Parts: sequence; C-alpha cells; structure tokens
Amino acid sequence: MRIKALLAATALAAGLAASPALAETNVTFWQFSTRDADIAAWNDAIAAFEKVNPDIKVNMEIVPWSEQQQRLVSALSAGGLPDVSMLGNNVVAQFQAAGALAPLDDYIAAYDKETGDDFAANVWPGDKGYYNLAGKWWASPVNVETRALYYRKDLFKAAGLDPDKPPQTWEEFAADAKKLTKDGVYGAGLSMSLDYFTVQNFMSAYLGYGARMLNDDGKCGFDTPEFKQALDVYTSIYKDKATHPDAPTMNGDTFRKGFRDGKFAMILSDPGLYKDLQNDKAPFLDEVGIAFVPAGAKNRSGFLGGWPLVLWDASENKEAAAKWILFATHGEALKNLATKGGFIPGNVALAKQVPWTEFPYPVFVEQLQDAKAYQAPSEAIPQMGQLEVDTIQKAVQAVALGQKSTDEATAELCTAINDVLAR
Amino acid sequence: MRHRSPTRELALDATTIVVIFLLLVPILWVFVASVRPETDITGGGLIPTRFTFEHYAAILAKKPFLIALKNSLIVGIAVAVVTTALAMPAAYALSRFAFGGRNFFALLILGTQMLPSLAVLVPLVVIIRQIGLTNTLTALIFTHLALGMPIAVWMLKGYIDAIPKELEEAALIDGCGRLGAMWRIVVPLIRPAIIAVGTFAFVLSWGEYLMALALILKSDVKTLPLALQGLFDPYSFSWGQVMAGGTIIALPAILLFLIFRRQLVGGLLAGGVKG
Amino acid sequence: MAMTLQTTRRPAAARPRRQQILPDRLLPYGMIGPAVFVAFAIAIIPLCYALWLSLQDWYMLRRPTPVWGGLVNYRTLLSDTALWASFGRTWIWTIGTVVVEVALALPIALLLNRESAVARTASAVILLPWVTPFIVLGFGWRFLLDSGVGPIHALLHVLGLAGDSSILNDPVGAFAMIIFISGWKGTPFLVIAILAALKSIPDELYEAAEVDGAGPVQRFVHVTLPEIWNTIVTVGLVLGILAFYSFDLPWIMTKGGPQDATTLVGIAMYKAVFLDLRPAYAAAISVVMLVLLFIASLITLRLRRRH
Repeated sequence: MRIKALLAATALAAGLAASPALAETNVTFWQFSTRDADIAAWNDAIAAFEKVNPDIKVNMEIVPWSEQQQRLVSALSAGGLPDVSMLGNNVVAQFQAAGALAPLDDYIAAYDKETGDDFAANVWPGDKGYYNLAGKWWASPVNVETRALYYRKDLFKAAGLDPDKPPQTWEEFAADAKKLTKDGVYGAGLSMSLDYFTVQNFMSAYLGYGARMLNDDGKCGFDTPEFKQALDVYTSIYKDKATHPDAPTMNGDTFRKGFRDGKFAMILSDPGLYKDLQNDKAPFLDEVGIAFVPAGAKNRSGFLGGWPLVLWDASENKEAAAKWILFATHGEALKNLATKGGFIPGNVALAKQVPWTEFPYPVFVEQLQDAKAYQAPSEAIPQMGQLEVDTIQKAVQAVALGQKSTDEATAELCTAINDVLAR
Repeated sequence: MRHRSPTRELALDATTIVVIFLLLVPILWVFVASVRPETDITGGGLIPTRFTFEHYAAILAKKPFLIALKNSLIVGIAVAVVTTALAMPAAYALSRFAFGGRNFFALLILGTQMLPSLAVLVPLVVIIRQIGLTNTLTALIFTHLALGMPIAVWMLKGYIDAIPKELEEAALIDGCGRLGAMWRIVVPLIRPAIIAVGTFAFVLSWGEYLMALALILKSDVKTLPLALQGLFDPYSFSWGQVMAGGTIIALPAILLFLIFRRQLVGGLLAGGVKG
Repeated sequence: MAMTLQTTRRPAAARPRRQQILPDRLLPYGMIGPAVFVAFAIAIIPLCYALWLSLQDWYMLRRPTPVWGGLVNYRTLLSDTALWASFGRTWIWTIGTVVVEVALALPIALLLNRESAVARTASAVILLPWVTPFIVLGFGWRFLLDSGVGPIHALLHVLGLAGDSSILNDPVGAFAMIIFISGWKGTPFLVIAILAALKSIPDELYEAAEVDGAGPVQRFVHVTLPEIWNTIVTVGLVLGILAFYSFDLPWIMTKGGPQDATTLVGIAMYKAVFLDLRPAYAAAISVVMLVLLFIASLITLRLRRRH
C-alpha cells in the first residue's frame, strides 16, 4: 500500500515537473471604437486569438477616439501606456519621433516565415508612407479609408444635369454645385470650417492641382500658383453660395447628417455613409450614386484615412503583444473585424475579396490606389499631427469668409507651417 | 414684500415663469430633442410631431452608462460632504480668530483655485500612480476636493462674517466651547449658504472631465462625463442619444437639489435673526 | 433687536469644566488644518512640479525626457504674440462672463426671493444650465444658432446682429455670443448665492427703511445692495477664475475660430500639451497665468466692504 502511494506521488511529482508552467502573459490593448458592433467584433478576435495562444490574455480597454490623444500624451508623460493600441495614421510619425513606439520588423519577419505571408506586399501603397519610417515598420494596418463623391441622381435630373455624368473635375464640381442649389437644397456639403473634415476634402483639391505641403528641402511648399488655384476653386463653392451658409463653422458630422436629411445634393464621404443611409431607410436611397472624387488639373488624389495597431516601447510583453497585433491585422480575424465594422481592411489581398466586391465598396477600393497622405509625395513628418489640426483649415476658412485674400492666406499658412517645423 | 396682494403675487409668478422659460430655452431644446426620432431632430423643424423614447432605452441599456451614473453619484456626494466638512471649520477659523499666518492660509486656499487643471494634471497623476490609487474613485474624490474647497471656504467666510459676533458670545458665556458655538449658532444661520456651497462642490465634481480622464481608464470606475464622451463616435453618432445622455446627466443634480432646497428656504425661518 | 437668550438653570459653579479638543491657541490651526492639507497636496506640490517643469526644455518630438532649459520657455513666451493675443482675449472673456452673470443673476435672484410655490420650483429648476455638461449644451446652442433652422439665429437676424449666416461666422459676433453663453451657464450659481444672501437680510432693516419713507428702489440701493455686495464680489471672483481657464465651451462652439478670434488661454494650453507636445512650455504658461490671476484677485478682493 505504501509503495503504491509512493509511486503515485512520484508519478504526480514527475508529471507536474514535466508540464510547462502555465504562466499567463497579459497584454493591455486600447481600442478606440465605442460602437457595439465593433466591440463585439474585437471580443471575437480576442477569443479566437486566445484559443490559439492559451498562455496570452488580451485585456481590451475602450478608449474613445475623442480622448485618445489626451490619454496617450498623459500616459506618455505620467506613465500608464498600454502594450498595444490603435492609433490615428497621421500621428504614428509623431509618437515614433518621440521614441514611444517599438519597431515591428523582427516580429514581422517571424510572422512571414510562419505563415508564408508577405506583410509588406499587402500594405496599401499610401499607407507605406505613414507606417514605414526610417526604413522600419512601426504599425500594422487595420483599417483604410478614403472618400468618394456621393451624389443624388434625382436632384441631378431636376437640375437638368445628366445623372450618369457626375462631375469629374473640381471645376465641374463647382459648376454643378451651383446649378444644384435650389428649392432648399444646397449643391454640395463642403466644409470650410476648422474641423478635420475640411482638410480631408480640401486635400483632394490641392493634391489634384499638383500642390505639395513640403518642398524637398523640408520647408512649406504651399506658396505656389497650383495651391492658390486649388484654394480658389474650393472656396468658390462657398462664395457662390453652393453650400450651407454656415459651412465655415459647421462640424463634419453636421454635414454628414445634412446629406442623410436630404439637404445636400453632393458630398465627399466614406463607405460608412451608405450604411447609415440604409439604416435610416432614406427615401432617396435608390437615387444615390457614388463616383470618384473630383480630379484636379494634374491628377486625382483621394484622402487616405485609416488606423493601425502599434506596439508601445514601454511594453514589457513585446513578443506576446506583437503576436496579437499580427494576428488581429491579418486573415480571418481582420476579415471579421472589417465586415462587422463596415470598413475596408488595410490588407490589399483581403480587400479584393467578398464582401468588398459589392456596392458601394468597389469604387472606394479602386480609389485607394490613388489615395495619398497630406504631405505626399514627401515622407510622413512627426509634426503632421500638429499641422493637421488647424493650419490648412484656417487658410480655407479665411478665404471663404473673405477675411483674407488667397495670397495673404497662403503666405500666412506657410509662415505658420514653417514655425512649427522649426521648433 | 410685506403686503401680499394676490394680483401682485400672480403677476410676479407669471413673470417668474416667463423669465425662467426664456433662460432655459436651450435646455428645453435639448430635452425635446432627446424624445424625438433621430431624423426629426435636425430635419423636422421646431415643433415636434413624433415622440419616442428609443434614445433613453438605448442609453440605459448600455451598462457602462448606468455604472458611470452610480460612480458619479458616489463621487459627487462624497465630494460635497467632505468639501463642506473641511470648509466650514476653516471658514469659521478665518472669520473668527486672529492667528498668525491667517492671511497666508486664506490666500493659499484661494490660490488653489487659480491653478488650471491642466498644470496640475501630470504631477497629480504621477503621485497617484506611485501610491497605486489609479482607477479608484478615492483618488478622484480627493482630487475633486480641490475644485470646490477654495470657493467653499471663501463663500462661507463671507456669510459668517455677516453674522454678529454677539450671538456666539452669548453662547460662550453660557459655557459652550467655540466648536459648540459654531455648531449651535452659526451653522443653522448659514444653512442656505452651506447648501449652496455643497451644491457647488457637487456640481463641479459631477461635470469634471479632465482629471477623471487622466485617472480612470477601467469601465467599471468611469464617471458620467467619460461615459458621455463615449457616445461621440466620429463617424456616426446619434444626436438623440447625446441629448438623452445630457438630460440623464443633468436631472439627478436637479433632483438632489430639489430635495435639499427645503433647507435653503427653511433654514432662515428657523434660525433667522428675528425675534 | 430682541433676542431670547438661553437662561441657565444651574448655578455656574456646579457646571463641569467644558471639554476642549484643543487649547484655544491651537484651535484655529486645527480647524483650518484639513483644508490647508488638501490645498498643499493638490496645489502646492503640483505647483512646484509645474515650476520645475517650466524650467526644462521638453519638446516631446525631439526629446523623450526633459532636459534643463533654464528660462528658455519664458523667453519664448514673451515673444509669442499669439499667446499674448489669446491672453488679452481671455481677460475680455472673463470680465464679460462675470458682467453677464451679474446682470442676469441679480434681477432673477430678486424675482425668486419670494415665498410662492413657483418661486421655490424655479430656484431649483434654474440650476439646469449649470449642471448640463458643456458638450450637450454646445450642440444645443449650435443648433439654436444654425442659420437654417435655429430659432435664436432668427431672433438675432431680426435684431440685425446676424446676417444670412450663423453669427459664429463673424469673429466679433462669435466671441460676443460665446461670452454670453458662458455667462448664461454660470448665472444659476450666482443666483443661488445671492438668494442665500438675500434670505439672511433681516426683515427689520426693510421695515425700518419703509418707516423712514423709502420707496422700493431706495430700499434696494440702501438696504439690499450693501448686504449682498460682498457675496457678489466673492462669488463673482470665483466664477471669474473658473471662466478664465475655459476650454470646453470655446473649443466645442468654434474650435477657437474663426481665425483665432475665440482662442483663449485654456485652448492655447491644451494645444501646447496635447497637440504640440510641449508640456514644459505649457507649464511656463500656467505659471505666468497664475501670477497674473493672483494679482487680479487681490485687487478684486479690495472691492469688498468691511463689516
């Protein structure tokens, strides 16, 4: 009896010694969307990840978009950064320059080897400018976003315009907007305010006319006839009263809501707007057409939005965190997130599959090839976050309100940009 | 005010109603918007034709919102009570005693008010992290004390100054200690002011956003302003829900005040300097 | 002034010695102690940190950690014209806000100083603007000022204060409008404070004045006003300090625009910390603002009357 017990005890001890220590690594993950559908999708992704990696636990904290800059900067100064978080694509360079991010190259190499995937090939061309800095990868894309031209075919017909020929250039856009402004409807929902929405629309104009934010010497490159031309065409839409009279002070979401309420005949917006119209059961849903964003004299350029996942340098669980990042931004996990969230995945191969082959996505996916960053063709700069907030918008607002002439506004814009760059 | 002719009273009542209505027009709009269907709010004109409670249902269904409501109540009440409890003796001391460093302390307390939250943010967060109290309501309560205390002290001091010292001297001769005199004579006399000050502290805490943002991350400890921010998705937020959220945030403060406003009116009849 | 004294029934000699928590000399310190402790923890220590930080050179984009910079931030501050412009605006904003608050609160408090059910309910309901969060109010007011559907815009249009587009499009109009909104929001608290003061004015003073033949206006000027003057000054000062660092309201209504017309110090500091990533510079700004605000407060406090 005693021998049996002894043997049993020894076996048990041996078994315990042989089994690997099930120490759990905790990965803190800051997620920025507060929508129920998104949160559910992220929870699914986490569950799927934890199944495949039982020794890693991902703790998701919901940090709303509107707070992210404040929380991140506070955490940067006072401590408390997460292991992984989402991040606006335009501020990746900012935090990388501050030394707060960790490069992902080693983990990517391991991932590529393991899955036979090619990380770099699947990143949208515009995103490379945002996430590949100083020769290294600092983020893995989740979402990519661009704007297209939504227009009301019924209103086109009523104004005597051909509903199958939406405006192709900014000049045509301005002319059409004027004709469409009647009977309580404004031709275009074009923003002239200090809101982000303004620069997201206006960048198609200045890039389209061939203007660039930064010269090759790194200084402000806006002081050119091309930029002034773009500025004139853009603000003419307000001056000709083809958009809402409060456009210089309205929020972006007020414009979006306005289109959904039928107040605007045209608007530049994201694929999510179509989903909203469907949810609204908008009476004019069948009359909504989507076309490419207007082109300038030199090219057609779309807004490039989106966000990636980043690895913070303060993290003490980098390897586990990197595994989570690469898992969530590829394959089934990303497909699920993108489908439930209604966005286009930041992965080229994935975006060419269902459901992004159905209306309204194809136009957006095709336009992504022409989507560029604000500072194209220069590389992303750390100060982009600061410049994007209100510098360009101030110029647009001033000219639209007639407070400054195009030349004055452009000169002041360049002074402001150079001041920030010189700090 | 001493002759009460009914017509005069009626006229004054009517004027009050009109004035209050005019003052509260924006609030009324917020409340009305919260019970209209989403598309009516911006597109449907001024006079509501359809009503719905879907926004309230949606918000109250969100557990985080209810939890945030509870947290804000706890923090707000605690802050109101502690602020008043600390401010009352301090104000009394500043008013009634002449002691070394009196002016220094008075200005020190007032000066607390003059530092912007932003300047105070980082060092406070660092200290609280060191103590290990991040994500606790306790840390938030302590931080919020700074919001209302200076005003509480100065306001109460002002009201106490207005009370003649003879009243307490009578009680002192009777054998009360100074604390007893304060408690028995002064406090009842300035009850309306105490209520006002407590309300002030409560409201400041109730709506405080920046420190809550810096100190609290976990959903189960969030306060209402943080929860409200969560409703603002940059791409599609519901105006109706935001308005409903705002109403839900505003109402409890009013209800609490309604409960206590009896004190505001009642205090003086009982302890007034009358016969 | 007739007063009923509590007459003692027991002879003084038999009374036990009253208990003291603290000897009389130390009592004031004990009473003020907790409040001072809070002030110390929440204000002095962070102030020291802010002072230290203001002497560092820390632009997060160039350096992850601060480095000694001496007076560099203060020198930048002195030549930062945009900051001084916002500083000037902030003073106009602060004084404007308090003026609006006093102008609205005084008549309302007088109106509510009655014993009717309506007055009692009104004094509670009036708190609403003050307890509703800025974000919600911001959206409410934006709607009311919308040139298409806003009723207040229609009113302003009729009065000739707004053209065909929202008043927020006009730099001066926008500034004036949000000063009004800022004052409107703070009025309820001043009303409550003045009400509390009004209620503690003894009836006898009014009766005596009436006997002397004073009409309602004279009663107000000679009896009411002196009694509530100190309350107005103290609470006005406090509300002014609160208004000085306003960020939410101007940010939500106009984002500091159009063209910086409504950019206040609060916005400048927010931008410095969170958008420009220059926490040391922001610290320098707060130190300077603190000093100026302190001086202004001292001057304001002199306006009080001595009892």
